[in-house]
Amino acid sequence: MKRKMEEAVQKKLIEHYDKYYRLAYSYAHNEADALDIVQESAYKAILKSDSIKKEEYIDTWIYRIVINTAVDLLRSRQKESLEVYEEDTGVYDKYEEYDLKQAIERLDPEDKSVVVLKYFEELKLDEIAAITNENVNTVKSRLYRALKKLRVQLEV
Amino acid sequence: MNLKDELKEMKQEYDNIEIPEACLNRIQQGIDMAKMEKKRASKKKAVRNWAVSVVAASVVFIVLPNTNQSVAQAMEKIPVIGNIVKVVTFNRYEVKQGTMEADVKVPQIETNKNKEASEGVKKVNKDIKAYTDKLIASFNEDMEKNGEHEALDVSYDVITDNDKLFSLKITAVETMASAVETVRYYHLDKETGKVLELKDLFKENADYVSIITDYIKKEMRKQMKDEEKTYFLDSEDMPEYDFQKIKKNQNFYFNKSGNLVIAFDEYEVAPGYMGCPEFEIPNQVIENILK
Repeated sequence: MKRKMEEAVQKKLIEHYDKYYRLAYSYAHNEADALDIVQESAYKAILKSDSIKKEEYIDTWIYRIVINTAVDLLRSRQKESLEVYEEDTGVYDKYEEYDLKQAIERLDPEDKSVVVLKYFEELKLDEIAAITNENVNTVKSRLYRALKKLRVQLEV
Repeated sequence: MNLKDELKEMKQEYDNIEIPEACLNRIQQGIDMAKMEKKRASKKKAVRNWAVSVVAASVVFIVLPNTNQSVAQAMEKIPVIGNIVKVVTFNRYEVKQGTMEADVKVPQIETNKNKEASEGVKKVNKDIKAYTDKLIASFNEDMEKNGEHEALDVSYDVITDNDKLFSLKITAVETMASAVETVRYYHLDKETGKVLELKDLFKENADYVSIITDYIKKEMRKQMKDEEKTYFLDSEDMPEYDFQKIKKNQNFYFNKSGNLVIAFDEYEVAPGYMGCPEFEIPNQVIENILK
């Protein structure tokens, strides 16, 4: 059983590595970090493959690992960059115009995940709910709220 | 342009994200690292188990006289009828074909007099046979397909046999690429001749499931401070698989000190390298609800 699940996870990782990379890239926006995220995710997925009980959960499970890994990495990067910039004099241009891409970046990680999964990965709401471990209604309202935020930012 | 159209446009951009050549390689590296780590962890486990058993052996002398009072008393209240008892290997199934090997000892409980076996004995015998039949069938099926079974080994042990209680442990090890161990315990109340399940130890309406579960969760958290130990509890990635509570008829037995031990199968509450986790429940945790 255990071996079978590990093999199934491995197969999935290798078959869909491009999907996981795109997802990672949509958080990292650079190749080096996206590759780190993907490798780390593959590592975690195999290491914990024993904890999956049914093969049909593998897909959502790997998505979740990729997203969590990406968000963790970004958080640690953010901390680093804050530490660096604190010593700076802070003469940065705060008046750039927002395009959609930047607007999405400004969303909370949770809201952003829902937007990416829904519009770029084209997943159904119940699939997204399984990935983010929320119920469908929560995902729905999250998506609604995220879209509203995006509209507001774009109109400014 | 409205938002939905803009999102569609971005989806195009998303799909066009270039996949670097190194990507597949990095995935493979992640996979390999995890596999190596799993192997290392299982080796460590073997060493640790050995160490633990040496310690346990030296402790027995001290603990034996303090046999769990409440459990012993709970057993005493039941009238004596005992007529078990001997366990025989009723059937032995041995196969060797190529690299595949099976050795299954099917135990059956015999009652000594010419008296008819109690309902409990019959039930346990029937259960054991059904269980081992199932294991053998799945092994055979796999052998025909030249599948992934490499070995099947079923053995048994009588772990308790006193005036009141008879407990039989059946261990099945199915080896595929790695081994999966499943343990079942059968308990017969020798005085009533009935099968004894976990719930039978406790007062009626006692919430033994929550009380024992709470204790085990606390113990798991304590053990998890050691980084090598993992249980499916408080997990961030898959909280829905977390250990919720013990089953009403969870596997159990009494250890040599007379304490209740709750037993889980491999993978039931922890990753495979943790083996079949067991938790000894201290007497004070359950003394108020024991019969």
